[in-house]
Amino acid sequence: MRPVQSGLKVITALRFNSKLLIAIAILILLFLIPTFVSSSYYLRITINMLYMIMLVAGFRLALSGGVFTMAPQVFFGIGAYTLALFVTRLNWNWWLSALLAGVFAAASAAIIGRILLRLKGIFFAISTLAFAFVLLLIWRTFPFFGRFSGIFDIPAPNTIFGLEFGSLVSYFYLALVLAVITMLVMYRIEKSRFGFMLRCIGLNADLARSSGVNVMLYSIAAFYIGCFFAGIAGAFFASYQGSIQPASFEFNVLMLILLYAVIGGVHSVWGPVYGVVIMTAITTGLTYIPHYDPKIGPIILGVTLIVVMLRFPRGISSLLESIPGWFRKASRKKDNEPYGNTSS
Amino acid sequence: MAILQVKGLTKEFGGLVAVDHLDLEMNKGEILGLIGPNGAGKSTVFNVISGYFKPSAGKVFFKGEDITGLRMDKIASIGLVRTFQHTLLYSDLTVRENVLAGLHLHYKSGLFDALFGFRTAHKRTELERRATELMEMLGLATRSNERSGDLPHGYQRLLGMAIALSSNNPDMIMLDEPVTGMNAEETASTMSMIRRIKQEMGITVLLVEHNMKAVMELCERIIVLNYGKKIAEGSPKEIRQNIAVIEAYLGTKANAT
Repeated sequence: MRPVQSGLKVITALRFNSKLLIAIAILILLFLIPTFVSSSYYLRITINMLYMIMLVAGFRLALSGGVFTMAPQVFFGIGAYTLALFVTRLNWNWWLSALLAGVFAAASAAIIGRILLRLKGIFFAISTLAFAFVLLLIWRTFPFFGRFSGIFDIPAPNTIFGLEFGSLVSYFYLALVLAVITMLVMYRIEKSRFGFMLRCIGLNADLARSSGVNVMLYSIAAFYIGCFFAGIAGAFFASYQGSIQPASFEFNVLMLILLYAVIGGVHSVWGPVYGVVIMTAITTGLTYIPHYDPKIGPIILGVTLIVVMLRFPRGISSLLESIPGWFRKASRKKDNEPYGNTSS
Repeated sequence: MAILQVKGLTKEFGGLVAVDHLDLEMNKGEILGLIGPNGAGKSTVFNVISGYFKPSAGKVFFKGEDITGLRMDKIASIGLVRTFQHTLLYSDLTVRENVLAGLHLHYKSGLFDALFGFRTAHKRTELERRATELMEMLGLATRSNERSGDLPHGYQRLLGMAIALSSNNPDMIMLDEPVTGMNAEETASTMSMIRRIKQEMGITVLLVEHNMKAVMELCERIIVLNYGKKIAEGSPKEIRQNIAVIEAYLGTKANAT
């Protein structure tokens, strides 16, 4: 018995380590991207992917707690406007303003959530959409927000720890670090008791309530944590673009977020990453087809969505995560801990 | 001592009076049945007592404390839990995870603790142990790793009870149609389970059920509702012979012909 058991221990330890090693290898590869991608075109696409991952991950977190918002794009906008205003009008430090952008987005989510979350499901979703339209109207109307033309000359982040910002590569590293931090936090939440409770609330809010869960508290928490990251992404976006307009935070951004979330799979933490990467790969790949008309793009996206919904209703993540199972079908599923190792 | 006191409870939906000045008292450790024809307001009584609806008028006291209009999670956390008629479980989770979900609320902790989970390792083994206990008691242990949505109906109802029982050492449980849709064998085993909940865990049971045989055998006392009003109260034997009850279920002679 004994040798078998200790052997098993070694194997599990190795598997854990191999997971960690793979994660580190992927991280190193990501950090090396600028060395082998010299074209600014691809670097820009990668940067777009990174901040979209933050947005979609925040959206998914709220959704996992049963909060279906249709306003992630304006929380992204709140972050962007906050940073732009504090940096250009008040000459505040960029990093402080960026943090404030996240806090502002989170705070407005908490307020909006407190008011609107008494509505359930689709009614809440529609009311957040209404909120999004009101906010867009405010941005378009008041000169304080620069109306349609928005805010210009948003500077690059201040130099910090001897790191200078402004070049495309520097923005890439900033986006990468932010996205990695976001995903680490999301992973941590997923494995925590909080994440498990969110999952229960998402599955059956009444039942959770009947076993004593303060559903409102946890839903709002999921909503504002998600929006905090949307706000930070917005702050990054404002500087990266150099200027922001209300048009950057409109309905089409919401459509992209929904598309990425659904295709990636909302049941998995990594769903947003899969969704963003795969859909960006498809849309970028399409441009290589000779005589390609960009107008076809949305049609292809729509068709992909339908195919994924029909074949893998739980998203690409369910497909990808079942692949390791094909190789070790014999080994039993030993993972029935709902909230993982919280002691570490 | 009365564990639950309901005084003049009224619930209106628009103009419809679903529950009309209901008085009800339950003693610690008894099994009380709430019966009545369809639409008599039984489920509404459940929903108001458990905090799912706010009452239009009246008071509810639990363990001497006024719980009228409190949120459902507050009421559950002071020891009054319930099962549902339809929404029974987290169908996407396994049986064990379902029970754990209820148990998680047993230890109170703030959001911060929930996120970073300090000192939870030994708590977790403790919770796992209690989950196993509960599953063994309700006969779910052999199915602990199955997806709960795939369970047969009878097991799903038992699991619903397990989830309710797992939350915060309840003093009283309200069962909404615990044996509905079960075959004779499942009904018998669920009934003995309800008796064990009372005897071994000392939990007071209030149940709504349409299966008269089960209600008559199980309950020590029965309250009959019709059109939101209490029309009879007494032992199963008294209820069986009560004219008003028979009329409520079968109609009067004049109506029948």
